[in-house]
Amino acid sequence: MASPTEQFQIEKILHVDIGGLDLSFTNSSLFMVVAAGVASALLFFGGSRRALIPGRLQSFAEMLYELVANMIRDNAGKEGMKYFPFIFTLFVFILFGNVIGIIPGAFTFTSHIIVTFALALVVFLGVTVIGFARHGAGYLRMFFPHGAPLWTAVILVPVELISYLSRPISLSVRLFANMTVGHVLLKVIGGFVIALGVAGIVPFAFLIPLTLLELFIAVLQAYIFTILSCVYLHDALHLH
Amino acid sequence: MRWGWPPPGRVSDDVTQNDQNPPPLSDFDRRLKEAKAKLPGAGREAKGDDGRDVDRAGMAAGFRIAIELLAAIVVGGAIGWGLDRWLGTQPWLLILFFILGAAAGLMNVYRTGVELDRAAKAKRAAEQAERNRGGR
Repeated sequence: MASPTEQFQIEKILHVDIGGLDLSFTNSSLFMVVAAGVASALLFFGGSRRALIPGRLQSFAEMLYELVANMIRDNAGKEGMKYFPFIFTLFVFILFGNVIGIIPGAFTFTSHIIVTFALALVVFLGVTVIGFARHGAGYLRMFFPHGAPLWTAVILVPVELISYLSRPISLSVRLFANMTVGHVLLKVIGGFVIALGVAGIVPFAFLIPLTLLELFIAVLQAYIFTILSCVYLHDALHLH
Repeated sequence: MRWGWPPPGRVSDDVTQNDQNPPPLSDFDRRLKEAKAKLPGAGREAKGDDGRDVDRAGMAAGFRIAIELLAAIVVGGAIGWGLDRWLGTQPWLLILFFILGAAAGLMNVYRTGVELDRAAKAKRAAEQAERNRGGR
């Protein structure tokens, strides 16, 4: 029986080595391209007809747009809409990465912490830059609650600083852990189906609702990642 | 009426005739309400589905909170460990920053709780408004 973690193995498809730096095109990169390609194609064809009464593709594109637009308006405020293109790209990329990963045989690139951490770091650095660009040094007030007695700064500033620095960690670990755990579970139970022969029908029956649950989690985690990015953006724009 | 399916060109005769003379859009709200009332389980949707989805969302919320707590402790511990190695003050800064990290974690948990509460309230208010608009 194949190891349940074998599915996370990175395989080089095209070996690229630039100045000692391994920049190979891997199965992970391939599925990133697939996710971006499928998302772009769906949105392109969904947006090309512009019918008054939308077809299925157009409905899908419009729903996606409205979902993200509402998410930004509710969580980051009206000013956050300036960053709509980035947030939308982030959401769609993670969503398609997660959902395509459920297809048997596909690779889930969000199950690698380095991928989710890179995404979270872009959000974290972007939000920090936006905060300092908007408020200058005043952004440092983020680390000290308004109206607290000055002597409490000794404790509060380090605590707030750690809390701030923990954002990219929690953001990336949440997505990575959810995807990894789900896929390992699916694989383990899938292994039982083969190992048990005829009696494998029992774990197989269990596998169907579990796959649905994974689909739900894939969408939910993409949503949570994006909504937290919006919340962080709100903090940068409005200082808590 | 063209509603995505069946697509135009493959529609049956009576629908095509309807299409020639579409009902006014102003009538749409009433027809939508009627169609919704005919659906199985109509009127139940407002009560948070059948509970299963609520469980899953609750599980996700719990997981989210646990990660918030852990991440801050890990970051605090890592900072303390790094400073200790740099300044050669083992193990005091590790202990100090572990405690600060735990405090930061609890603060994260509190903020997440407030955030989830706010989101839940907003959702309930939106549902209430929807029901008031839809009900007669």
